[in-house]
Amino acid sequence: MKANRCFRAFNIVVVALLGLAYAAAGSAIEYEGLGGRPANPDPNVPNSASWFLYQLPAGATKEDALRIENGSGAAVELIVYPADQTPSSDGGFALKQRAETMTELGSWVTLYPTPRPVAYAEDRRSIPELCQFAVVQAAQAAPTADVSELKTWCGGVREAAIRLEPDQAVAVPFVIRIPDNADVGEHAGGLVLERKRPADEPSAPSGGVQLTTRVGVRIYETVPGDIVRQLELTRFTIHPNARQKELVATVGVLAAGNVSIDHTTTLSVSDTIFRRSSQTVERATQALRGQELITNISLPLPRFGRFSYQAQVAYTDTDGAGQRLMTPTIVRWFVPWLQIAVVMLVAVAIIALWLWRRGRDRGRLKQWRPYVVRPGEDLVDIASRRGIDWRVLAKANGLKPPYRLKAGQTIKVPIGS
Amino acid sequence: MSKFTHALLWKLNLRAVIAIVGILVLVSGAGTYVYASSTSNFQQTINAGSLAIDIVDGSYVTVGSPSVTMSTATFSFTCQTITGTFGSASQNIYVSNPDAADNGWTASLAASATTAIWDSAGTDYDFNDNGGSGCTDGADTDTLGGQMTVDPSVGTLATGQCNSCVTTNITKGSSTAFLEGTTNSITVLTAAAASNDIGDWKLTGVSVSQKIPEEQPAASDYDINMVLSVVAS
Repeated sequence: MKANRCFRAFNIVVVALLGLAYAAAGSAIEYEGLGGRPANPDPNVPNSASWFLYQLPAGATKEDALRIENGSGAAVELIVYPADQTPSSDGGFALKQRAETMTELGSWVTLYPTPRPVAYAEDRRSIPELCQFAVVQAAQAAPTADVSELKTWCGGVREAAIRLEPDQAVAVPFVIRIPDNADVGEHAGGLVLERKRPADEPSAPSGGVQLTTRVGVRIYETVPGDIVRQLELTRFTIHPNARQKELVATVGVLAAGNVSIDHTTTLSVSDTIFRRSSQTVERATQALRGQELITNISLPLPRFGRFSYQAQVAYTDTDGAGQRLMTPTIVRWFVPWLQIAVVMLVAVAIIALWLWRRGRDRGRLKQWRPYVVRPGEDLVDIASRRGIDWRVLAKANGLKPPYRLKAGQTIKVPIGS
Repeated sequence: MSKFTHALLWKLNLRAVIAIVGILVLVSGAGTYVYASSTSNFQQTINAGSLAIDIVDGSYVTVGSPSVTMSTATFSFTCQTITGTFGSASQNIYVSNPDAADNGWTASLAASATTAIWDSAGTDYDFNDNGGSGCTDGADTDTLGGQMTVDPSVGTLATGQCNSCVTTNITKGSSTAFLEGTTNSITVLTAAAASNDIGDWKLTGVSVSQKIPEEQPAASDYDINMVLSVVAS
């Protein structure tokens, strides 16, 4: 009866666990954070879903919008602002901090987070057109209150404080105005979504680095003209990362023209002892205008061998032709010196021990005296009378199986026996 | 065993248990699965999410007021170095890319301003001055010495909740010191175009070291504000 009950309980637990495991297997990534992307991507323009891409001439203006999404289950307060691009270490893309003065593309963007004035809420004109209208109307002798309000609104803001409820998304319109004196070529920057710490959130304990997170959406504006697409190799090194026991191949390229250049770095590794290609690693990255990009490729540290490393960088030049830059070949020996040293030490120790024992045996033999074998004596008899093992006697005299002794034969025996 | 449990177990047979659990599973999994029907067409659109960076705990919950605690130091007549670890089991550096950045992304760390300092109630010290190997004031705009070095290359990069994702094509940044006007931002991670378009990753164990000038007055509240950013490539 009791066993039956236990069996039923066991059944329930097993089936319930199986059911829960089945349900859990289908769960997706449960993190949905704060992020942004272009609100009006052009499906015909590659990367336009991730970046704002413009080719506006100097003096031009364009309206666009940033879509901000709060995928988290909590309300989020954030600050949105445009920022200049700034190089990160290794040539990575980063954006200036909010506290810094924007002098490039970050200063060309104006945000319009609030709705248009009521009188122009239904107006279909773009923000630049509407604001041009406001300028013209405001220049008249007695502008109306609506025009004055519109003109004020047209000033926009440099940064916007926004609160997003859980799973809410908003589009923040903005206008990019290209200065008349903007250089030909690419100008990069971005729109930044920076988390604002809630007032009710406890502050971090003092005495450390206080962290804030932010997400940036790139803006690339290329002023038409003589575009130069040129890439130069700047460095190629192979060095071990001792703490990680990895080998790091570092390839540096410089975008020497006036635009950023997408390129593919292919690292080839060959085993020169067995004459075979052991590994090929490919990385597609972007070198920013006028900046060096460092690509670090981690490889397993070979245990032993002679390997050659060479990188190839492929890109498309100004004329649209494919270009390939080859680095010099670096050859490296990999020898496990530590392991070899240990093996050598063990070998030396064994040899030393063997030599010592051999010397000891010879030393003993020098102290032994000759003995003439009598008729009927064998090795065991002679050894037992001297209180030693017959095998020691045989070894000391270099006797081989079957260890027969002849009468009159001279062997050495220990002194005093 | 209570009378109720006893009665329940006695009344239930295995088939009934399977049926009940099956119903429970279907109900609990309804939010996850869409079942095909022979008479109706179900359509579902999954929108790409947004690239995000965050500091999360082991359960992928955003950590309120994240920070990096540095080792304690005592007053010294010579320049000294304190260390810290950026990214830990309870404060993972977390990047989530739900099909938002197909061309890769870059995560970087910077101070909230190039003129930021390790601020205390008393005297301060710098984070981006290489004067005297980071021990004395150099040619920057303030009159403070001190320099911070961040080494992402010694960190441990792992996939997050995504079972099918890999860390291939994501590169940890090199060990770099902040230097005002030259290195204002340090690359922590770079995801190449061939990295997973849908995935999430955790980075822990990034080494942070800070040179503190000699005879820096003792204080328990030296703070600096830093910003962790991610930008789609």
